[in-house]
Amino acid sequence: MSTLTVRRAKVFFLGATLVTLCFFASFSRLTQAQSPAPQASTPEDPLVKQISDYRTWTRVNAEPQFVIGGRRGRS
Amino acid sequence: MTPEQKPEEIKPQEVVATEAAIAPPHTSLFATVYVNEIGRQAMMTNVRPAFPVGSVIVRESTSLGIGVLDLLLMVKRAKDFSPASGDWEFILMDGKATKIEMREKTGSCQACHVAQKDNDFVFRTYLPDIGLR
Repeated sequence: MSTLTVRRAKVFFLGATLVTLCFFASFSRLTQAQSPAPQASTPEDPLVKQISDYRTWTRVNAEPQFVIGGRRGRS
Repeated sequence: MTPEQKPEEIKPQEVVATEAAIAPPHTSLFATVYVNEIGRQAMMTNVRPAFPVGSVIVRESTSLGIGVLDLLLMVKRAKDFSPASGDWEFILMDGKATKIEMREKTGSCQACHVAQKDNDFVFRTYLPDIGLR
């Protein structure tokens, strides 16, 4: 194989690598731009606003009641 | 504790004689229950309550040294929302009341509250003993 052929092969390989890299870089930017911003458009549940002032409501028990048996209890 | 005091303002010495003082911290829970204006009359005065649509009951779970752990809500939905639970929706929220962590019509909540079917699925063991429970 002549020196010229080897040089042409190297140039072709480098060119192909550059073109491939440019293609994937562009594709990556394109898909990022089209992805929705996470959580930004999620609407807030109206219940969260509805109970935001729950401590101003009628308090049923005058004293906090001790509860045995973990997180889940009776209301 | 005065009625104006918030639950997190409870000083440890005020509960030293309760079971909470000898239980591990993370299982020492206190419940404070609130009801909105729509459900107030049914909760506080009716012998056999039928809570109106829109009633909301909030049970605030607090622990000494931690504050509010979470909120358990009962929300009275429209008729036929869930006949098996008296049209109540059961909701678990974080202690800051900003995030809904779980919501269900049936399941473990309903399975327990069905014992109070005659009281519209609402336990009123928190009420002063005035003959309503």
